[in-house]
Amino acid sequence: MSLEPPAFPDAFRDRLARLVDDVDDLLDVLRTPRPTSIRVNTLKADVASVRRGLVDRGLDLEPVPWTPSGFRVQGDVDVGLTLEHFLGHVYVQSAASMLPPRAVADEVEGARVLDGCAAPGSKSTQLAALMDHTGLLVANDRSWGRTAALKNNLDRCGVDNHVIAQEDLRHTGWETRFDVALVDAPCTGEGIVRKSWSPLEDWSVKRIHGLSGMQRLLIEAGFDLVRPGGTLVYSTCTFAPEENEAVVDHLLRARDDARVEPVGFEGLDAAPGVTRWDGDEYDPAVEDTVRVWPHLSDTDGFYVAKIRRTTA
Amino acid sequence: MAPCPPEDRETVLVALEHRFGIPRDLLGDRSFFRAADDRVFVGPDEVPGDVDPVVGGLCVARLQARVKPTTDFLQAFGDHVSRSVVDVDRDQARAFVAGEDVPRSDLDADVSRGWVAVRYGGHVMGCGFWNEEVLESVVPKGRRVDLEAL
Repeated sequence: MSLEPPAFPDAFRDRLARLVDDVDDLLDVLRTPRPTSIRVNTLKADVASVRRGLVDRGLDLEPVPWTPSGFRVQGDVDVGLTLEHFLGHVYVQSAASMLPPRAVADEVEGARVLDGCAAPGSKSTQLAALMDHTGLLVANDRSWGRTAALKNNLDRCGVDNHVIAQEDLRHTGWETRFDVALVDAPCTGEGIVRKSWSPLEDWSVKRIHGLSGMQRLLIEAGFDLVRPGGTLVYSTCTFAPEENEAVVDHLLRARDDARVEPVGFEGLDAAPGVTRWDGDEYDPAVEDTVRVWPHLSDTDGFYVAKIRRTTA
Repeated sequence: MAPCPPEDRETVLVALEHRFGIPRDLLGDRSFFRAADDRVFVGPDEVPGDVDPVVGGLCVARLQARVKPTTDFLQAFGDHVSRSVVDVDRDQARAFVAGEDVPRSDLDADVSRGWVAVRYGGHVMGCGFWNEEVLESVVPKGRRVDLEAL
């Protein structure tokens, strides 16, 4: 006997129908579990030998096109219970969550990098692998409980160029400026229902609006911590334009020196940011941000924006 | 997180070279930090003064009577370990990773009582203590796991 998946809230479904043409395809995919994916931690292992080792264990690995060290994994073995995982040679990470660090893959070596909402550490460890023991990674998370998991993951991955800070990003008081900052903001998590239904259990438009207010403060704070000429990446795992394009639009209005930069990801079938929603019209530049739709890419839902702080 | 006093740093570098054959040059130019307890870390060269970290870097060792390297450090620098290595078989590796002690009667005479690097399949898995009868697993509780696949 199989259980019927829970029903999507009507308002959730209606909102998605306004964002995509093929909403039934999207909802069908959202009812299915997402594929497991891993990233080889190149700080401790090389991609080819880890791949070979996991294939020898009977796992099928298919490359994640936008991440040279990323693979979707199929098989009866729990990757989290393999020797490779214990050794810190692999990190279980959703394929979509590998996108934000890839947006700055060419900018982080030797750089001063901030991961503003870092726990539990998938993107921090990915940034650290791209930095390859150079520069400084400040992995910040305001939650004491969550920083313990963050530290464990950084240690398992052998990351030696990091420090962990425990600040509310909105009120760090730091005068230090970073070459690159990532704000992977707390969000409603609409995009990860293939992993857990819980984001829809307390879902409401009111909650979206509440989070949008916090996200506007977080993106401002993250941007202000970037040096002129540096880069901010803003990301979420939600579909709601109020938490995505509206937040970027807010930053563009609030900061004269913020510019959206187009960003593409190899092999990713994605959609541009939306410029209109609920009667609001956003800065046309948000079209250069990236919407990741599960029915197009067989991933979680995700949103990524790359923003340059200009030097002028 | 405070800079590591030079004498503590020297103690660690000497102990790692003497016990494990890790060349002191490997870490000689790196920045060391010392926590309020007995932990010594290798970390980034430059940390801005206003970023007040709660912790940082990779914990290299604890300053105990015998300098005790961490499992995280031995995994990360395992390729440079040339002494005090105990190779284990598949069942022993599984027990070690689960935090269980491993009885051994066949260790090479050149492994003396003390901290050892435990290796399986060419990979250093972590730190153990060889008491001349049993290989004790000191894998931290949070890292222990019952492996499905070895």
